[in-house]
Amino acid sequence: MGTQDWALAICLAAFWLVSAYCQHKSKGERYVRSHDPFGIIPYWNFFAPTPGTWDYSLLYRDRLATGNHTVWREIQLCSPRKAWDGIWNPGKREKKALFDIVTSLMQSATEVEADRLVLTVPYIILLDYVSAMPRPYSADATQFLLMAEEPGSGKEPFVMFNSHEHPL
Amino acid sequence: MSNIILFEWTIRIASIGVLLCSLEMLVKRSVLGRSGLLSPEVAITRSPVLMTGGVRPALDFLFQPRIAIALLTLRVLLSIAVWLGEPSAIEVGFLALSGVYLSLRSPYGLDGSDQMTNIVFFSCSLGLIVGTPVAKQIVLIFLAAMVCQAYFVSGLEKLKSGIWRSGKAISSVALTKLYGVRSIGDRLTQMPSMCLAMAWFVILFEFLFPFGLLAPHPGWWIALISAGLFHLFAAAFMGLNTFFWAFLSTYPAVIFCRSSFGW
Repeated sequence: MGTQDWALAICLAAFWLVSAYCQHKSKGERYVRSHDPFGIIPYWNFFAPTPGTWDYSLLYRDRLATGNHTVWREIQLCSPRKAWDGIWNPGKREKKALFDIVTSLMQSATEVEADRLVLTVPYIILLDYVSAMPRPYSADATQFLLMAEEPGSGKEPFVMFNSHEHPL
Repeated sequence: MSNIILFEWTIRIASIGVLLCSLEMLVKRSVLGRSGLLSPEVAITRSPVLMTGGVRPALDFLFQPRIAIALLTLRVLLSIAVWLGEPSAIEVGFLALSGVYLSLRSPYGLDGSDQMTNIVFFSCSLGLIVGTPVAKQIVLIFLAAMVCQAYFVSGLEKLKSGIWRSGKAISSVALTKLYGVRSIGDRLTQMPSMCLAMAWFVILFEFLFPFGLLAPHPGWWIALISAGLFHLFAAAFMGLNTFFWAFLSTYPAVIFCRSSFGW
């Protein structure tokens, strides 16, 4: 083995060890991940320990110039599973993105004070997304709502998060 | 099979996942644009490192939707090119860097298949840059160790989880809109024994995968076939199509290690 082969072996072995270390949640793991903006260090806990068993729905409504509100409209991201999704599934990334953003927003809600939540990245992404939706010309503010449902639990969907009204 | 051939197959199988993933993003390119859920405009503010001095303007330029679309198109072309001849360090290096570019542009909507694909291309590009046969062997050993880590950690986490041990995780996930099919989920809810068997199949194959590779023939083939069936199932019923290719791409590395160091 030459010097370059040794260097490669050491780099890859170090990466394997860092990845193994970061699979267990700890202060050190958070520190390492906070210095990895590229997201190279993987998470290998697929659907564990608690798999995502919730469905989330994103709704929005607008305030019109008259002061009245429109009805809540749902943004449809989840289309029914198609037979060919196992081969070709272009919608999965957007659906997963919404799931990640909602999860991140709920995490932020437990970590920051309520009045600072509007400054968090997931909140602003959802607001930005909703603000680009089609709406009446006279709308002057918008608001979004997140509903959650645990299918099969027998429980009704409930409002998980209700945003402020934001001028358009 | 020689390590050179197995190394090339690793790249080629991973490139199928990249081809699909890139084409899917191109079809749904509105999500990459301003106000799309994968828009970088807000996502970039998540890390102070990305907002510093000269970094922010450079990223603002690089993250423009038209540049993202151009890179995705190039990824499509290169993932085809690696099938047409011997994959080069430049081709594989570009596939690695562009994968990280997409992760950096927005961390949302990514999954384990993106991470495994990035790891495959990064390690293979390093192997190609060094360029010796030994370097390719080192990369194959690394990838085999990485996939063992992935399955083992995932299996261990499931083993520690009550919802997995009871089998309820299977029917609960199958009922969701994101990963399930309502009709199948409803049927599975009526069959708790089936869910229990499926959950324990997943737990045991993942947890025991590294040990299976040390087992005598045909134990390690059973481990590999179980893993492949699991990913086929996840693709067909959960829509996780790119997971299949990302993880399948590491199997040539497993075959290399087994044939080199096995008994």
